[in-house]
This record gives sequence, C-alpha cells and structure tokens, in this order.
Amino acid sequence: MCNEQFRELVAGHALSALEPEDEYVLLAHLRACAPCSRELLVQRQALAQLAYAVEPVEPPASLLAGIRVRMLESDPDAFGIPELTPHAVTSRTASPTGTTLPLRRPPRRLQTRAARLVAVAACASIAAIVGLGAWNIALRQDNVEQAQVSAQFQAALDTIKGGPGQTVTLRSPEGDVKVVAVLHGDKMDLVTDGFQPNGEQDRYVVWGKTGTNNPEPLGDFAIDSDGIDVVRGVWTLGQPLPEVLLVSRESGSLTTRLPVAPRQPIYAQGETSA
Amino acid sequence: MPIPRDSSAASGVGLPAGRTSFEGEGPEDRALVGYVSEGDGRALETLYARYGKACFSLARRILVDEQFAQDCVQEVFLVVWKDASRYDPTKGAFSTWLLSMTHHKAVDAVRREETLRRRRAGAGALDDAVSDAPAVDDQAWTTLRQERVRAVLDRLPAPQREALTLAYFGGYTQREIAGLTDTPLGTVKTRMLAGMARMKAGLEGFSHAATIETSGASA
Repeated sequence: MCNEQFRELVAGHALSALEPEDEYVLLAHLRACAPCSRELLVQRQALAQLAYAVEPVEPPASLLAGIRVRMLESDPDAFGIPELTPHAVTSRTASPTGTTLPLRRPPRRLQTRAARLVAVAACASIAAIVGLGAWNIALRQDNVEQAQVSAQFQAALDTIKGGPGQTVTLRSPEGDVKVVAVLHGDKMDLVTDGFQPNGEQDRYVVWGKTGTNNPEPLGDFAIDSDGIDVVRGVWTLGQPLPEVLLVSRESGSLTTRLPVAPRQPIYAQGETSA
Repeated sequence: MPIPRDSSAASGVGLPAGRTSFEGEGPEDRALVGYVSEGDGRALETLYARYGKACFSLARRILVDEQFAQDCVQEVFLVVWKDASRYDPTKGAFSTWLLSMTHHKAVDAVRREETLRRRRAGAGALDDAVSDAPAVDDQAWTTLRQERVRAVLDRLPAPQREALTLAYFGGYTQREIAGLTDTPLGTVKTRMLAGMARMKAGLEGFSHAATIETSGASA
C-alpha cells in the first residue's frame, strides 16, 4: 500500500468527501497504483453495507413509473412483445434459488414495424393499468437519433474551428464527451453537449490546471438551453498552456468575480496534450 | 481466491433459514445485468425490485427531500439501463456498484442544490423509528443487517463515527467537516482513514462473496 497521504485520499474518495483538487490528484494516482485501486474497491464494498444502516423507506410508485417512461423513451421495445401463446414461455437456466429469469425479448432484426407498434400498444396498456395516465411514446430509432445528434455536434464544431488550432475533449467522470474546446492561439471557444441550463445564481467555470498546482479559473459561461451550445469565449490563455482543462458549475453570476477554487464537483475534464 | 459465500461463522450472527449469505445472489445479478445490456426492460425492473428500496432509502437519507431522492434513483437506474456494461463484475458486487453510484449522485446533488443544505448527519439521525409492520423473512433479514451495521458504527470512537457519518450521510467534504467540527483538516483525514479501517474490519465476512481479481484490476 502507498503512503499515508494516498491512503487518506482513498478513504476520502470512497466517502465522496474529497475536495476537487484532491480528487484530481487521487484519480491520477489510481491510474498507476493497483494496490490503492484495490483498496478503494474494498472500501466501497464496506460502505455499501453502510447504506443499509438507514431505516428502509418504500419508494413511491411514481419512481418506478418514471423509470419505465424514460426507458421506453429511449427504447420502445424495452419490454418486448407480450407472449401470446400459452405454455410457450421459455426461461433461462434457473438460478440456484429456482427463480425464473425474465422472459427474453425477440431479437430486434426479427421485428417488423407492425410488431413494434403492437409492442408500443401493449406498453401503453400496461401503463394505463398501473395508473400512469396519458403519456406519449416517441417512436424513433435510436441509431437515427444518435446520428442526428452527432451531426449537430460536428456542425457546431465546424462553425468555430476555421483555421489551425487545437481541440481538447473534456469528458464527464462517466466518460461521456461533454465539451470540445477549440484553442486558437491564446483564445478558446467551446462546444458543449448536454449541459443543464444554469440559473442566474450560478454559472459554469472553466479551470486550467498544471501539475500539482491548484486549478485556476480561466473564465465562465452560461447555458440557457438543453442540447448543444456554442460558447465563443474571449478568454486569453496564458503560456504555457494548462495541462488540464476542467469545468464545474459554481455559484455566483457572470458579473461576479471568478471563484478562486472549484467548490463543486468537476463536471468534465480533459488533457490539452491528449 | 474467492471469498466463501457463507459468512455466518465469520460474522458471528445467525442467518435466517434458507439464506446462505446476507447479500443478493451474485451470479443472478450478473445475469440480469447481462440481459439489461441487451435491452431487456424486465431485467432492469427485477434489479429495481431487488435494490430500489435500498437505493431510495439511502438517497432520501442524504437528500432529505423525497423528490430529489426520486430523481437521484431514477438517474441511477437509467445509467444502468443505458450502459449496463459499465458494471465490471471483477471489481465487486453489483449492489456495491449500484449503491456507490447512488451515494455519489446523492452527494453531488446535495452539494449542487442550495435548498438541500438542511442535512441530517449526526449519528443520532440513524435512530429513526422502527417500523411497526410484522417481520417477515426478508424484513427480518434486512433488520438483522441493519442492526449489524449499526453495531459496527456504534463501536467506532465518536470522532471517527462523526467524520464518517458527516461525510457519508451528510455529503460534507473533509474541509467542510473540519470547519463544522472545529478540527484541523489533517485530523479529519486521519479520523476518516482510521474509521474506515475499523468499519471494514467490523464488517469483514459481511461483504458480498465477490471475487476481486488479484491480477491488478484498476479502478
């Protein structure tokens, strides 16, 4: 195991209690330290037990209903085609407890458009039964939607790229691309994707970080709609270029001074040398 | 080397009849996750039936607000739905991954939303009213686990327990805890590390029988 400093950071990280700058140091360390990574997993296992220390509270029915709606929005076939033939239900190999695993849905390629409409109608019936009331199911093909979003993002990027420059991709902790920063000399523009609109009391802040120094604010911006946004900045990047760019959502309006350190979790980050 | 599933000897606590471990059955969870990754909504509903209550209880404890807790748990299960492949069985049980994600999102939310600043994080806050409902098998098992975990927490020295509960249930950072408790930051870090070590030791044999590869799995 590593020295005390990193062991403390591992414990803090497992508890989600680290300051953003410590989080960054630890995540960099974990990439190269298997013992600390393993210790983190063990601590998370213990903490998962801590979750059971609270008094259990039955979630409201609306929670599952909401999850179902979102699932069907992303995939109308989420719950498959109801089995119409008696005794034709097949199950996977029974688990050790004898519980039958869920009915598998037919492969996508065998489904006709008519079959998909039947599936949608069946799901709507189920929704009515569980009291969801009127709802809309968007019939859209996932691959077409994704292609459209990618095209929009690329189009937005093309509007600001013009000419030589460096692009830096900033990703969320889950690995999703959230920002592409385009660096033109000492200026920086951004294309953002999926940022929630901020209110008047907060804003998004771009930070630059080099080595073990604390992140320094480069500028801030506002997002007023969902989806893809282009932010033309007037930030002047210092030399040398920061090694890492980070984005967080901090309290304060665009007219107030930039914060001196990230107070909120890092929303996205990327290396300028990547 | 796999950890034995029957941990009753190590835990020193009797298991209800018919149970071989305190955790959900690992292989079945993995199978369900596999089906979810293939787009089977009913597999996700099965996982929700299994863990939704624990996730919601944790989120509600941290966030206090029921709507925010719902939003948090909804996000968690949608992550599972949209990208079940993010779960790596070599890194621990599915329940661990799910509850860790729930905790992380709840803490993010409580730090993001000024209206959620009323946090209940003292150890006394765990002593909520016990349900009056008659105990059935599953409920008895849940109560048993709850009592065991609380017992481990109670045995921690007060400063360590305070640091852990303020962080885990209150969503406070180490620096915020130092300010709240008027303690040097270094001391808070030391207490957290020591508290985690004691809690780990106290819950040994209680954790899920997941195999963590010794070949150097990274986080």
